[in-house]
Amino acid sequence: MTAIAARTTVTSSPALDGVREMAPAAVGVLPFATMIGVAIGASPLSDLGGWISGLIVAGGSAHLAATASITVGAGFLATVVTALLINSRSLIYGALLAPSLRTQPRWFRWVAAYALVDQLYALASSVVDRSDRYVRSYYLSAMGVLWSTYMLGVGAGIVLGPVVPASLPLSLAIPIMFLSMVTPGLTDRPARVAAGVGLLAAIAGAALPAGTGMLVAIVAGTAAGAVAERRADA
Amino acid sequence: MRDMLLMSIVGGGTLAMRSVFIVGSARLPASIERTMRHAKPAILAALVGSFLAGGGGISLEGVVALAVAALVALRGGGMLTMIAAGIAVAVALPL
Repeated sequence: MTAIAARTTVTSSPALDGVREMAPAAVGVLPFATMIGVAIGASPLSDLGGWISGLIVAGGSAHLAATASITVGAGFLATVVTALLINSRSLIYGALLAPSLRTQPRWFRWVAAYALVDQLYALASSVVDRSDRYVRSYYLSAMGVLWSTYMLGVGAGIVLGPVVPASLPLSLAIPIMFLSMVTPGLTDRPARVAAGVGLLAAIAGAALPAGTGMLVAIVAGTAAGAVAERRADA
Repeated sequence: MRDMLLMSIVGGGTLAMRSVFIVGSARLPASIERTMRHAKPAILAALVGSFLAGGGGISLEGVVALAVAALVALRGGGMLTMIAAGIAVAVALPL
């Protein structure tokens, strides 16, 4: 973030700064978005509907989770709650960014809230001390780069998915993607306990009706992580 | 139609969560914020588990693929390498 701040000080165009800083993160999103597109192609969702839902859900992990839940036949409520819980970390991002955005126009605060995903939060939090105009241009350009790349990637995955031979067990890519997303965060005991309990509870509860096993697993894992943290603090 | 309704509810709920602090003036209670930190690993791991056991029993092919992917991750491999290794092993082994 220090490097980002240093670079943004040198250049004068906030829009260019936003594009330049977001470009590496957008490239990193591309394979993830493509795999989501492949998952959409293998799901009961229509291609167009699945693609547009990327803009509706506004969050890659939740988009994938909702698509995956639909594919495995999880219940309506379980799917909604699962996707919302995944996006719930943006509650914290919103709480942290809100004081710096209070003086921005209302329309921009709505747009900022809509697009607030991990990468945008990380970049926006590094420039919040700049002028309102700078933050606005920076955020909008970074958002444009990230979201256009994401939607292009999802579209590419949908188009390329049917070309891939059916004998390839591509559906395995989805749990591996989730695994790749969870492992970097397992740096402390509470996180490992939350993940371990969540994993085992989901397997144990797989036979529960309407995908409720997933909800039970999430609640159990989150509670176990909180208990582990309390014990570590005691 | 049902699936698009589902996606719309998720999108609406997400926007509501994000805007409550940025557009509104609410503040999150510290205790909830603290507990929610543990939701992400629990959710992602639960998704892995639900895929492993999705067919009614635990998929041996899935377990092996995930184990290989985890090994790749431990050796510093990225997501695409993990996926390629996991799928390659699942294809190669007569499971």
